[in-house]
Amino acid sequence: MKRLFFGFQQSTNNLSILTYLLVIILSSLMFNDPVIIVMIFLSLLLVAVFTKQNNSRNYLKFTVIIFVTTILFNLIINQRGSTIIFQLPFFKMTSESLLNAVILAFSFVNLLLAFYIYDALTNVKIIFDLLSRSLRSIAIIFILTVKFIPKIIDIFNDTKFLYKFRSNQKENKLTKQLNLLEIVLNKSIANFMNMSDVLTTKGYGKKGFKRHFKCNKTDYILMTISLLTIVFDAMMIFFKVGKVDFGSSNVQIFFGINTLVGLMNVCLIVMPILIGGFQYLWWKWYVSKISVSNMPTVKNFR
Amino acid sequence: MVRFKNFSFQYANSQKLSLDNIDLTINKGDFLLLIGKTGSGKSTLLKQLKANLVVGKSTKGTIELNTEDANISYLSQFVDNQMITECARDEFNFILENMNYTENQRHMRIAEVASYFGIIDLLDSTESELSGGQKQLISLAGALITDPDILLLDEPTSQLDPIASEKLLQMVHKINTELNVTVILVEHSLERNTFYANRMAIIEDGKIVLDRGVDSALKSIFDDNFYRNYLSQIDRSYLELGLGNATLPLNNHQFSKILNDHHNEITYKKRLPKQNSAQTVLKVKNLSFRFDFEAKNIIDKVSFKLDKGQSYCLVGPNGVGKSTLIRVISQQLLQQSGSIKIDNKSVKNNPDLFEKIFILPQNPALLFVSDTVFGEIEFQLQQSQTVTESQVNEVLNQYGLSELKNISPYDLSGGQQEFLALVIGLIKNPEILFLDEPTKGLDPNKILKLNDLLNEYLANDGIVFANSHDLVFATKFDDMSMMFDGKLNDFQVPTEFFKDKFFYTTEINKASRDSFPDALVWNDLRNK
Repeated sequence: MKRLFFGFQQSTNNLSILTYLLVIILSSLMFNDPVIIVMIFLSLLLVAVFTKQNNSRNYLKFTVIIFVTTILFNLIINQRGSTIIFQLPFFKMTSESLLNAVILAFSFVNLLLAFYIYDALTNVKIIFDLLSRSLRSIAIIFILTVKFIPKIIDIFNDTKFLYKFRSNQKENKLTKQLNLLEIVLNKSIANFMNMSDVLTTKGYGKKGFKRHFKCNKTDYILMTISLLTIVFDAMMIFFKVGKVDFGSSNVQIFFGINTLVGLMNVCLIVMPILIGGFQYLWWKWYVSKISVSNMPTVKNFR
Repeated sequence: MVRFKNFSFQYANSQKLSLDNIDLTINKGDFLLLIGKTGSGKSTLLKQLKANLVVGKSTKGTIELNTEDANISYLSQFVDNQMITECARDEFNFILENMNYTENQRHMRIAEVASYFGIIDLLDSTESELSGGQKQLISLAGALITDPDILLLDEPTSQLDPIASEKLLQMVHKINTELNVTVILVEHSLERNTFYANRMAIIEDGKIVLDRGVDSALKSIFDDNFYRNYLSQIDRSYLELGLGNATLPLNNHQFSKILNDHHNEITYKKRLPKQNSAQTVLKVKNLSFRFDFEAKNIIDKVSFKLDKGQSYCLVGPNGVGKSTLIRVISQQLLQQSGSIKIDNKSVKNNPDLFEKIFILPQNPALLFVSDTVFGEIEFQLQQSQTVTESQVNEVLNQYGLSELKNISPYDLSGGQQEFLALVIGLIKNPEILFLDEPTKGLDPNKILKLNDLLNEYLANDGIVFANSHDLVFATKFDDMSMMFDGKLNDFQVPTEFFKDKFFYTTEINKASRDSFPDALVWNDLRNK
């Protein structure tokens, strides 16, 4: 999997990766047809595993929690439908309400997985390069936010822990939490100022520089498929394909044109695996045969 | 290259002048070493040369600069969070793009700088994969990538272990001599950097009080009761013993030869062994911890005990798990196996733990809870008693913090923050003080003050457990150990610990091992 991921990253530039990421986020938001969202879910899951990161286990755990919570929450607030599966006083679970709940849960999970893939495939510099072409002030806010969200979480955790060594007085939970938030805010501002100094020392704020992206065949393929898919998806939405009357009691599972929409999106979502796989096979069957050498440099670059 | 003419400066949030009538000329190719006590204005002076780094106004005088702002690079003392992007390659590109370099120029620059600094293999490593020394080396490479005329270094080695520090300073020296880049290095001690500088200046309360060649400056500060503590251990010993008038700084080889020549005139002052109370407070048995299932143990079956009234110091390179050990003992991280007992009770889910110990983390600012230094002291005093304003002022006075009382703790210098956090710990008066790099950013006199405060605390049956890269500071502890590969050697008294160390020992020990193998610091050697 790591080899496929590497092959994909090697053969695509930041612009095409970002286009792909934006389109898969939109795809996972647009449809709520059960067949389409399950197809999207499976392909997103495959790509999420393929782009495996260190924190993937925790993220997937979190995804499962969101999935279960969404289902439970929906079953409680939406008890429409006539095919009763299960009944308790003040609570009725019907096959229609269960289907609605599962649809919403899959939609949430799809969005989470899309953002997980976004997080795994993108880096600060990609976004900065794109935003700084015309929106430098937004680019700087983006950088600071991206750097600071994990930093603030770390500060909060450390401060919460270290506070125990300073205070031995029993405080009201709410007061303690509010105090803690104020302390964390003060610390975050100090860190923010430090980051602003770092940006100054790195020359940020000088005259704008236009970044240029060199695209190769793979980039054009990825961008074309991404754009075609989003246009196709938009047309389908316009013609009310892939949308169900969510929340109602007449949501049904059927296979028709929605399967085609799902397939189109699956093809797009698994593009990194296809590109990475193609690159790997190309290397295995062609290039590696002509670069067999034990020279140190070749070893280093192999 | 740079000329400060009667220059005065005041911070926007301060009533006091931070720089007062500065007159200083720095020539092209100079390597100026700027020292001063904590909060004397060293960093403020340095930052004047880099626009936008200081918020305040010049109240008098001018700065003449024979170069543009883009040709001045700055490297801060902070090792972490200095990278905006994910890896060094992106970081270098980011800097060069900001300076409008074309793609071809960027490619060449990165190739040159990576080869020069020997960091080709680190170009694609993320910040979390780099050690402190590697991060600082990449930051230095980033500062040099735009071919600057002036390199400003603000205590760049303060968070590095001695070996990483030496490597970094050698690289700075190489840049200065080979590329003729003007270097201004702000430091709080003179242990190794005097070898590389050609000038030295002292700043005190915002004023330059000395500006000379290194040899003359070192000899001159020996006559000053305050600044003589800044001297490197070798130079201090040489001057204290009155062994001649050689050019300073002396290297270990020169000092070793001088000691051999004067062997009959010098004696080693034996250190008196301290009686151990044998009353154990903390027991750690077979403690193991790893960050990941696949990772190897960063703490690997570590066992030791801490006794009342004793001080313990742990040394070792960056990233071997010294800080992790403290975090596991304090239960910030939970061990995978082994036991930790405080007063014969497991620390797991033990609420008494937080009362019985105090942690001074690597980043002391994490401890602060108030808007002012006064508020910090007041908060800590209030944990054990009701306090009045005059009582808080008295404590501030006792620790020499009165002048800083209305300042935000986050506006203090790194050394001042470290000292304030330590004072907070001492006010709490726990059974065990865990200190993670307590001398970081402290000037030599503040370190002496810290030693006095810790001795006072130990005399009242306290226990100190510290991690430190400062080997001279480590010699003041009762017991020492080295951590590497997750293992901890048996604790030994410093003379025993350093006896068989070849690289990881004090400069005095390296220089005098032929004639006085037990000598560790300058005052271990005396005239007969």
